[in-house]
Amino acid sequence: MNNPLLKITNLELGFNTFQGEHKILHGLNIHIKAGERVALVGESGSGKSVTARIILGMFDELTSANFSGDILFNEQRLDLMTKAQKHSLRGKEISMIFQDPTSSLNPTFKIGQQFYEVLRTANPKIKKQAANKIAIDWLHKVAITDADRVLNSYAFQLSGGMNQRVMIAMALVNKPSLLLADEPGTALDVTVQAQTLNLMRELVTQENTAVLFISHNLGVVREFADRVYIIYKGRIVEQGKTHDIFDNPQHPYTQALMAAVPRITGGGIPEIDDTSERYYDPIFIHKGGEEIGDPV
Amino acid sequence: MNNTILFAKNINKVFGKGKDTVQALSDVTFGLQQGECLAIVGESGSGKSTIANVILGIFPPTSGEITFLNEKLLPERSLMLKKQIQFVQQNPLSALNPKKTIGASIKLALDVHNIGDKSDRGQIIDTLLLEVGLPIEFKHRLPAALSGGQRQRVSIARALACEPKIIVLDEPTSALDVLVQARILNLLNKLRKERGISYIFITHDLAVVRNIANNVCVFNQGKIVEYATTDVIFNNPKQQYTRQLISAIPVIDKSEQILRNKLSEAHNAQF
Repeated sequence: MNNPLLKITNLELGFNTFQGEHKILHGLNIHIKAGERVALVGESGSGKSVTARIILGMFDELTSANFSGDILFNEQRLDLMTKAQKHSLRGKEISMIFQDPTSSLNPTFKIGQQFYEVLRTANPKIKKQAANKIAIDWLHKVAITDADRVLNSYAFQLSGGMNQRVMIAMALVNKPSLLLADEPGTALDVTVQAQTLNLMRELVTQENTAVLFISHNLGVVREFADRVYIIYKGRIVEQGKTHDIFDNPQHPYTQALMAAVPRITGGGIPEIDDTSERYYDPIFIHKGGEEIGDPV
Repeated sequence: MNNTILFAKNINKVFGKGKDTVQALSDVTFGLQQGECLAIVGESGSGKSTIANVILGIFPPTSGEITFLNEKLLPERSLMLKKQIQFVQQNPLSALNPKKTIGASIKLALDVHNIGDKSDRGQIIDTLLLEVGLPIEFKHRLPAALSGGQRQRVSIARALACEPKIIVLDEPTSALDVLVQARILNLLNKLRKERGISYIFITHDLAVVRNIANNVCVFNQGKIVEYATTDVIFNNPKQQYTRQLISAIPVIDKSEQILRNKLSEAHNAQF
């Protein structure tokens, strides 16, 4: 059977606060097949970023976070793994790109050194020179022509677009099977964003990397993803193939989102409620968007 | 034209001294009519915010002059001029005093500009809050107890409190979700029509511009590369750079894609 690369079942998350537990995720079900580009779209606070952070194990040390649910990655239970097991996956099998590229690179080390460290996680014996060669090769792949200068610079000496391309190269250099991209273009200008996303799409197609693409920008999602999950307040409200979702949105929340996006063809902006009871309607699953083996 | 309320002529701004200088604005000229929404678009570093700061009088231009209601605007602004040109920022949380209630923040504007009788000011605050679509009880709340969209409404109410002629909006919806953005844009449109205020709307989001602005200035590296009505900019842009900007916008429906493809074909045809 063609099992999915990543399968999340009934994921719940809550944070302990002084007022008691604050629920963030109410049972998410997400699956990603190998090489598939899947987008998770929602407003701020809908729980899209925390989902990626749970997959990466970033809340394991946080005592105020309670989560439950099964996370199956490559037939292994991520949620039952030890710290060391998870550590060995990160950077090799699963890697992540964050929103703000300049602050996700270490400002006290040159890019070359950081690249070397990334390569060492996959191959601890790699020599500096060999690492340098691979790094230059990958920087060329992300359309950085003066790779030598970039490797010799600090993150703050490079532009945002340049840093994001360095991040993409670092995230993909160890050929992970899953890439988590959390709003990778949001901090960039539109033209730079379009360039970086095109590059990213080409590379992940080439390397057959699956991507969980997290964004609030519907336009970007439409251009990048094969399949889309729309998330609202910790619940998936609609899922399906990208063109089904965009050409034929069914859930009231998705419809409101689509209507609210300003169009370059004009037509003004309609009056839309920013909250509504109907946004809590049950999930709508388009044909072809369901999990393999799920009852249709 | 006689209902031009603001005219910027040959504005230059150079930062730095000696060899290390940056020409942030070069030879920028535009006019703003009463009740108009003029959009200033460009990528980061194109000088959009610099022109806003020059108009607001935060720093003077290196050369060139701005006339407001047929009077030359000097770098030293009188209280009256400050009152008539107001500012709404991108991030409402950092624009509001976190220790002051919403009511107190708005009242400060009324006190500084001495608007209305002291005893009536409570009443004015209530009307302003209702006008921007917030419940009156909110005046007792702190900014931290409001959502992003609600905070932005407070910033707008505070700008309105001064009864300005012009509001400079610097990326007013960039920090907001699309549903909230739609509501804020509608509110801004409504206020402009009702009160006849002019907006200088600074943004990098061209899709927003398409739906709110009358005229558009496209900035690139401190220069205006194209200045035309919104219809012309989106249907028949003259400049290569404008086409390039529009063809980079991610779109969500088919008619938009057709328009965008048409523009990027024209863009490619030039090579």
